[in-house]
Amino acid sequence: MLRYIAQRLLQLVPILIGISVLTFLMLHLIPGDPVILFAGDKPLTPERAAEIRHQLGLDRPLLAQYLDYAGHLARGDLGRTLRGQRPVLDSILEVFPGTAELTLAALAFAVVIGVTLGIAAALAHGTWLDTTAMTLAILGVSMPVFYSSLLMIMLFSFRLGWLPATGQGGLDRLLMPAAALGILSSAVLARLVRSSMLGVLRREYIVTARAKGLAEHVVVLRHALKNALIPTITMLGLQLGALLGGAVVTETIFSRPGIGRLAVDGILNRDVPLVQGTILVAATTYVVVNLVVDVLYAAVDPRIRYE
Amino acid sequence: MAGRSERDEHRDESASFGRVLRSWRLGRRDFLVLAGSWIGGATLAGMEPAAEGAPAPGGTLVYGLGFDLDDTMDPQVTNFDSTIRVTLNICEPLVWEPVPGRFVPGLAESWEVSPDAKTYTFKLRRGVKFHDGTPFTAEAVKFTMDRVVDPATKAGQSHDQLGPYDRTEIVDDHTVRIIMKDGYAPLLTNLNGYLGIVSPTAVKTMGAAAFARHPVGTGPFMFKEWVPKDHITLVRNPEYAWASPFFKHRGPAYLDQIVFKIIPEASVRTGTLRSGETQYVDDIDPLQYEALKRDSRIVVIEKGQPGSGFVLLLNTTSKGPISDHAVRLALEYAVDREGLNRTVFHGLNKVAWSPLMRSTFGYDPATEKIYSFNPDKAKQILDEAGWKPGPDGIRVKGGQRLTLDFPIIGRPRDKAMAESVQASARDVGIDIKVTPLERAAFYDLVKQDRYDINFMWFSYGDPDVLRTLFHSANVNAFNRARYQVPEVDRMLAQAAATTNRTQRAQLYARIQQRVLRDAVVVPLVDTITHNAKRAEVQGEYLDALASYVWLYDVQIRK
Repeated sequence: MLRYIAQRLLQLVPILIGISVLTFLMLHLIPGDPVILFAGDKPLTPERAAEIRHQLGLDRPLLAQYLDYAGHLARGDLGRTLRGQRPVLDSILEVFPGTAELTLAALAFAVVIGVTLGIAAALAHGTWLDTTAMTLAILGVSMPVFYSSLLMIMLFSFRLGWLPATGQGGLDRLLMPAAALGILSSAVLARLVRSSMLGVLRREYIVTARAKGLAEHVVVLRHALKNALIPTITMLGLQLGALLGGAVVTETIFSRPGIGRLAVDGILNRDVPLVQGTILVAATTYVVVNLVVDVLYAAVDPRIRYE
Repeated sequence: MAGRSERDEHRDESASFGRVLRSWRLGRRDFLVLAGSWIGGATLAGMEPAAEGAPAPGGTLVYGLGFDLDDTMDPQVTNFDSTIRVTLNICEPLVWEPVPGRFVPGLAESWEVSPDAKTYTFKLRRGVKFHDGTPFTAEAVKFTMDRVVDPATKAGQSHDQLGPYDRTEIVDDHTVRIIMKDGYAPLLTNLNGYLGIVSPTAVKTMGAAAFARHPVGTGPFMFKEWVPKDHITLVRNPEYAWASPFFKHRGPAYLDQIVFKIIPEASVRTGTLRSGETQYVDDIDPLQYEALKRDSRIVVIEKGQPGSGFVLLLNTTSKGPISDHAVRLALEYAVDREGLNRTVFHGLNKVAWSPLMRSTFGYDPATEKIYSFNPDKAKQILDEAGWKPGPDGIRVKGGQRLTLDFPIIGRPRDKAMAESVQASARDVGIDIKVTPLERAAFYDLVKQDRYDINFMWFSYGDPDVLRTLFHSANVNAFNRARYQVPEVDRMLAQAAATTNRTQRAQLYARIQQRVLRDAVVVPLVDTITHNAKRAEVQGEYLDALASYVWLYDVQIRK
């Protein structure tokens, strides 16, 4: 197992290099002259433009610029924000816990709702319960996050007055955004758990388990669910990417500090170092989480690590 | 940077336009006259009667801010009006501007401006202390102005606002002279915001980066806390004893604290006012306007902005048909401004006929009579100029199709406006090609002079905004009509370098008439600020720019 983990960690290195190359190139791939981005929209004299270009090192060969950038990254230096001149890393670390809290809560919501609905639908296969659960799932998949967020705010904050509409801190401010963000993933999970449960329940070892006279809940939870969850774990890692993306919208609507809003405001303010930094951190988080998922996967399914 | 508000997107625009608030300045005689009318009685239009009975000090005001700060609270570094809405409570200006073109004492008790608008002499208030305990003197004014032009500061809007700044001379501890290289009438307006006075000691000991997270000034409120993307908290300055005579009370502010909560989504921001999570919000959701007006718990605050509203600038140097005066004239008659205001702004702005918005000093009402919405007249003008309808309805002349290039920055509001103009033009046989672009690509195109039509919006406290839009020296900046008429240049320069109000107004009237008759600008709408508050909030004042809310007098009725 340890060997497997070490192997996977090694594979991280080229991926992280790839991410850093992409974020580095971002500055050069967006249309227009990067100097204009740094100078703001004020009219520029050619001399001033050349001066800024030199200050930023943009007049050096691309490879030299990248090596410089990568060197700073390796030392944990993501540069400074354009206007506030703060270390980008500080700005990110300040809001990162907010996004982590939101996405993890959304993931928890998705797992609880998705797995429950999925099992229920599979066990009640073909009945009204199955149909209802799957209709809900289709609804959840189809509903855009901003729409469900606004609906919840209108109902629970403005009409009923139960929950605050804005801000961060406390369960009451986490409930709505986590649910709004988690709905889509819960629907995806519900459909996945249902179909893999259906597949597993037809397997011969389930028949054997029942023939042994085991209680039904033991058969379902220990024999069937454990095996049905294997594909679900992989899906969790992928869903986390979707949640990080959805956090941009959720954080904006619920006025929560977070890395998604930081990135969007960075884009609006044309703060390139900040945008590069947030993308780098988000991508790295995604890769690391998927590594963890893969390791979990190997723990649950011994066949994986011996391949 | 035009930074006002209007829907959040304006702010974005603001970033691009560099707001330069300006206004004219006054001579001492003018000031004395004003002082009488302002200081004596609180007869300002829009001011509320003083609350009855004993004031109810204390409490917290939660202000829902529609747009975030741009990562700094340093008034000289920021590019955003939203930042100034917060910092103006901390770093006070030398003069306040309650109504366009009218100034009242701030940190300066009185001032004098030379007739050529080059030398501004300020008598400073005595006994004023910064939040760090250091005294406010002429040195602080010099320090603040000098840091704007110091490249190390990386100044934002303040740099434009200070204009052709030369130097500041300290006459004595409480007298200071700001000297311009050229006549610059807009300085007084510009003092009211991005040129708020900062504590030299704080900037020097903390360093600029730390100061940007914890500004120190002389204001009625002091900085307490900033949780990025969430809120900023200010607390009352208990020492405050130097309020402008413009305000209704003396001594410390009534409120214990102000919490500026950043709520970017307009519908949520507006909703929090109704649920009571906030007591004041800027830039309400236009869709909730009617409901708010009907709600007795809520007061909607509407105020026209000064400057230049949304206009089309028509490129006079283009090689395409737009250089034909008849085509430009036809556009003036063809554009359905009323329809555009309805579809894009839910009818909340006001149809415009001049490049100056109605609230600007020098606005000429006679401009409203020059053009009208008249598609038949537009067709007739094109017919007479030889532009005849082709098989697809688009007009042709000598083998040339009447097609105009209209690149825009791809934002929802800009797209909606452009499509509205496009539909109007199509009705009279003009084909407008709207191309939404990434910002940097858009600026590349503009720099290369490859466009026929351009949007412009420029919130600004002084009619000198017309120089930004129409002076030949600004052809590579915001004069996107690339309009170069020596006579207009002369009038613009003359109007900026005189202190005579009548003469200025006459000059600006002639300039407005001239650019309209040359059909280089198609005014679309004047923008109007729409804020709202809970009815129990009293005493706030929306300034001349319809952007900054003065909170010193605010009390929350129980």
